[in-house]
Amino acid sequence: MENYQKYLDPRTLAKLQGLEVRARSIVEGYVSGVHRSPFHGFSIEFAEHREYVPGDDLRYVDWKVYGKTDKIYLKQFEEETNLVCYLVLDASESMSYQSEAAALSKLEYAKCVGAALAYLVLQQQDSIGLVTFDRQIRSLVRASSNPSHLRPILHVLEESAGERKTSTGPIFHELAERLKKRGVVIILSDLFDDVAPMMAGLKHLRHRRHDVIVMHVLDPWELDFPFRSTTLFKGLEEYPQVLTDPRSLRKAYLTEINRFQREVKRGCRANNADYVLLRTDQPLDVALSSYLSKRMVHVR
Amino acid sequence: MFLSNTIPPLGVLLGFGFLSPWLFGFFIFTAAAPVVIHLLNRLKYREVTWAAMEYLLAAIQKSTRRLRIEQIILLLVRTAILVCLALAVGEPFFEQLGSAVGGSRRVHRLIVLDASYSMAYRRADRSRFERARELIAQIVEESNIGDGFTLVLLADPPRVVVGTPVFDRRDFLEEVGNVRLIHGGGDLSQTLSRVDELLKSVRREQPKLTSHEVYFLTDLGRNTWAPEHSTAAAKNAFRQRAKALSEQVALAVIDLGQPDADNLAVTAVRVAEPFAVAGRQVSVEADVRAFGRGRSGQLVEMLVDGKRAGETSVDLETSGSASVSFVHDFDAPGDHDVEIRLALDALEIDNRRWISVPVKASLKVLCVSGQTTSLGRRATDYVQAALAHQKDTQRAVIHVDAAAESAITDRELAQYDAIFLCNVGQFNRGEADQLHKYVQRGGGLVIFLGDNVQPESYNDRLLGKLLPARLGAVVTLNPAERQYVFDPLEYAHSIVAPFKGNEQVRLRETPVYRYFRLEVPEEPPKGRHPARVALAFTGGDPVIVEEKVGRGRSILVATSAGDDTNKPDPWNYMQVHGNFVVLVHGILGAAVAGQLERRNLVVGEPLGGTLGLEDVEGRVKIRTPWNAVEQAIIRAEGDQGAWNFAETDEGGIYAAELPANAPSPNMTFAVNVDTKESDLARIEPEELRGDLWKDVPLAVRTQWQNLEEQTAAPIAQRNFLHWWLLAATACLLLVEVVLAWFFGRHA
Repeated sequence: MENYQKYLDPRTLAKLQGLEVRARSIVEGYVSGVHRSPFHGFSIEFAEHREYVPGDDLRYVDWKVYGKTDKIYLKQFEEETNLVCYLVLDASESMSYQSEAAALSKLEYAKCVGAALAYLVLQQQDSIGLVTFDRQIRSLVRASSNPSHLRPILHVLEESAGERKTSTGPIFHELAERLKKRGVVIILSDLFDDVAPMMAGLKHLRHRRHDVIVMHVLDPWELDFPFRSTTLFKGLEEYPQVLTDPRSLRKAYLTEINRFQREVKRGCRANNADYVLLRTDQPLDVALSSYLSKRMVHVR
Repeated sequence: MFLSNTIPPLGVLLGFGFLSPWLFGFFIFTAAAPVVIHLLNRLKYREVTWAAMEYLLAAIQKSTRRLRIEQIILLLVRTAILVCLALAVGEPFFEQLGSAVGGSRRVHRLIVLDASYSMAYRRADRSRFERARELIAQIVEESNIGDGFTLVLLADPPRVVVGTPVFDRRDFLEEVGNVRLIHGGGDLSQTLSRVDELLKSVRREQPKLTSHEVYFLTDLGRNTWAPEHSTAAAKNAFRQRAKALSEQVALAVIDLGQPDADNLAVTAVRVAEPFAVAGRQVSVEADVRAFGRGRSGQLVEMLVDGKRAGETSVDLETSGSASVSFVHDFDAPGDHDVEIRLALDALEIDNRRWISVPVKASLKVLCVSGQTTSLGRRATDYVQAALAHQKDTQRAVIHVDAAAESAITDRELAQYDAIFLCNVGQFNRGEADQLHKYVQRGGGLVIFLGDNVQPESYNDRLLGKLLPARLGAVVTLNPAERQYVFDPLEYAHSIVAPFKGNEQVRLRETPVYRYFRLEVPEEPPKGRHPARVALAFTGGDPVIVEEKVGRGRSILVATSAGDDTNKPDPWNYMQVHGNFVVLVHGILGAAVAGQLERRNLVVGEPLGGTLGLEDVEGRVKIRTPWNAVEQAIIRAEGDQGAWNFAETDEGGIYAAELPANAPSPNMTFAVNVDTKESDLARIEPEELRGDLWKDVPLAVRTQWQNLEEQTAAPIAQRNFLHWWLLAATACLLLVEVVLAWFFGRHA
C-alpha cells in the first residue's frame, strides 16, 4: 500500500507537478493518517435511498436493503449543512519568498493548502470559492459544490503569482461586502501588513457572520532568522535594501516578528477567528485539521 | 670635531622610544586589522531577498544606536589589544613615566677617556687607548636607543670633545675614532670640574635624559689619580668635588692598566751653552731614566736634522737615571733639530725627545752707555771688553756695538740679541716702550746702574713693564766694613752656576762698596713673571735680579759696571776683578736664554712669534709631527703682528714657514712630553678608595662584562613596563570575550 502520508511533507509535494495531483495527494495522505474516515464522522444525515446507477460510489450501497430486497440502493444523504467555504489567498509579492530551509515558497505552500482544502471541501459536497488578492482582488471564483468546480479553482490558484504589494484591510472589507452567503472564510496569507486595518477587515467579515480561519503562512527563516554573516537584505513589496550584520539584529528582529504574530493572534482571538500558523517546512495536515474541526463546529 | 647640533630621533624628541622598533612597527600595523576586517566585511556579503522587511527595518531602527555603540566599543577594545601587543613587543620607554612607574628611562652616558700618553702603552697587539676605544664602542652598542653620549678627555687641560648628547651611535663612535692621544698628562681635578659643568648643562638642555652615568676609561696612573696636592685644602676640595659628583651620578672606572708595566724615557735634552754659534762646538746633554726595571747597555742615539750624529750606551738601574752628553759642531747658522732617542719599548712616546737649536753666525750685542768720563771712557767699556773676551780667537762669535743713550730710539733694536744699559740716567716714555717691546719679542736686556741713574725715572718708566725690582736708596759701605760680600745663593742661577766649585775665582770677595737697594716684590704684579734673585749680598739685598718678560729676559744689576778706579767713592772694583768676564758672560747667557727657551716647549704650550705689521692677516704654515700642514693667522697686536698655534698635542718638531720678508722665514720648534706620565706606576683600586676617593661610591671594573651587572637594572626596569603591557593585552582579551558574549547574548 502506498504511503500517502508522505504527501503531507512539503519536500515531497514539491516534487509533484500540478496542483490537482498535489491536492489529492494531500487529502489522501491526510485521510490515510486517521483511523476513521472523516467522511463518516461528518454530521451528514440520511435522507432517502435511490437506485444504483453505474458509476456510483459503491461505498454508499446500503447492503441491508440489498440483502432484503436484492436490489442495490444507495444511501442518499441530505446536504444538511450546505457549507460554503471561501479560500482567500494572498498572492502578493511577499508570498513568493522561499528560504533555503523550505521546499516551497509561501505562495506555493498556500496554493497547496488551498487546493487540498478545495478538494476536501468538494469531496464533502460543500461549496468552495476562491479569492486571490494583493493590494486588490485579482480573481474571484464563486462558490460551488459541483465536483467539476475544482478545476477552475485549481486553475486560478496556479495562475496566481506574487508580484505586488499587499493590502489586507481594504480587501477584507471588500470581501465582507461581496461574500453574501455566510460561510467559512479561510485566509491564506503571511499577513505582512498593518495589523490594525487587517483586524478591522477581519472584524467586518465576522460581522457578516462568516467563520474565519486565518492560516498564517510563514517561512521558517522568517521565524528563526538564522543568518550569520553580513547580508544584503533586498526588500520585497517596494521595501529598500539593507546591508547589515544579522547576528547583532536577530534578537530585535525576533522580538518584532513575535510581536507582530502576537498581535495577529490577539486580533483573531478578539474576533473569534481561528489562527493557524503554517510554517512552510512543516506538513500540511495542520491546515486540513483546522478546517475540519471548524467545519464540525460550524455544522452543529 | 665637536658635535654641537646633533638631531635626535623623533621618538627622542617626543620623549619615547622603542627597544625593538621593528617589532613595534610590524605589530602596530596589525592594530588596523579590526577596522580593515570591518570594512572588508562590508564589501563581502551575501544577498538575500527578504519579505519580512518591515520587521527587519523596525529591528534595525530600534537597535542601530545600541549596535553602533557596541560595535565601536568592540572595535576599540580589539584595536587596543593589538596596540598593547605592539607596544609590548616593541618594549617602549617613556621619559616622563619612566621614574614614576618604574618603567623605561633614558640614560646619559658621559665617557671620560684618559688621553694622557701613558694610555699609549702597548701590551700584546694593542695599546690601552685602542682598548679604551673598543670598550667605548661596546658601551655604545649595548646601550639602548634613546640614550645619549658625551665625551670628555681626561687631559691637562681636560677637553670636552662631545658636549651635547649625541643620540646617533655612529656619529658618536666616529667622534671617538677621531680622538687622538694627547702627549700630555691628565688633570683629574679639572676634569671633574668639566664633567660637573657638562652634567649641569645636559640636565638643563636635555631634561629627557633622566639618568646619568659617568665612565672613566683609564689606566689608573698614579700621576693622574693620586696627584700631589699643594695643600690640604686643595686635597679636601678634590674629595668634596668627587663626593658631590658621586651623589648626582653613578661613577664607574674601567681599569685598563697593567701592574707590571716598565718604561724607559728620555726625560730631558739641553744644550749646555746658553747660545749656539755656527762653527763652534756645543754640548748636547740628555737625561735618561728607567721607570721600573733597569736596563744595562741601553743604546742612546743623537740625530741632528734627522741624521744620526752620535750614539752611546748607558746602564740604568731600577728606577734609576743617567745622563749622556754629545758634542756637535753646527756648521751652518739656522734652526737645527736635535733628537735624542732610545730603542723603542712598550711606550714609544717618551723614547724620543727633541731640542730646537737656533744657531747664529754670531751674537749681536748693543752696549748703551749713559756716561762718558772726562777721559773719554764710557760706562760700557768694561762690559764691552768682557764680551770681547772670547775663547775662539779666529772668529768673533759676539759682535758688540757701542752707542750712546739716544741709540735706544735711533737703532733697530730687534737686530740685537742682547742690550746692555750701563749707567743710563733716565728714560722717556718712548724709550721705555721700545725697550719693553724689544724684551717682549725675546730680546735680553741687562741694566747696570751707576751715578747717573735717577731711580724715580727707572721706577716710573720701567718698573711697571720690565724692571724686575724697584730701585731703592743707594746703600753705601759702613766705615766699619771693608766691603760687601756676595752670597751666590747656592749657585742655583745659571748666571752664577759657573762659579760653583771654582772658589779660586773668589766670587764672594768681589769688591763692591755701593749699590742700589733693589726691592723685589714678594708676589709678582698681575701679568708678570716672578723675579729671581741670581746673586745677593750676605745682608740679603739682591745684587742681580732676573725676570722673564714676554719671550725675553730683563736682568738688573744693583751696582755699576763703569770705571771707578780713580773715584773717591767707587761703586765697586768688579771690572778689575778676575771674575768679571765670567759674570758678564753668565749674564749674557741668561739674557739670551729666552731665544732657546721659546723654541723648546712642552706639549700643550702654544707656538708663536712676532712679525711686522705688514704681515698682519698673512698666514704662517705649520707642519706638524704627524705631517699635517696647519695654518695660523697673523693678527695685529699693538704695533706688530703676532701668530699663535696652540694645537701642540703631540711631541716632535713643528716647522713654521713664515712670510718671506720675516727675519727668519723658517723656524722650528721642539715640543716634548712632560715625563711625569712616563712613570707607569698605578694606583690600585683599594688604595684609591682608601684615600682621595674614600666614601665615594666608585665602581672599579676591569672588564665590560662586569659592568653589565650595573646596566642590568635599567634593562630589567624596562622589561617591567613590557610585562605590564602584556598583562594589559591579556586583560583586554578577556574583556573582549566578555563584551562579545554580552553583546551577542543581547543581540
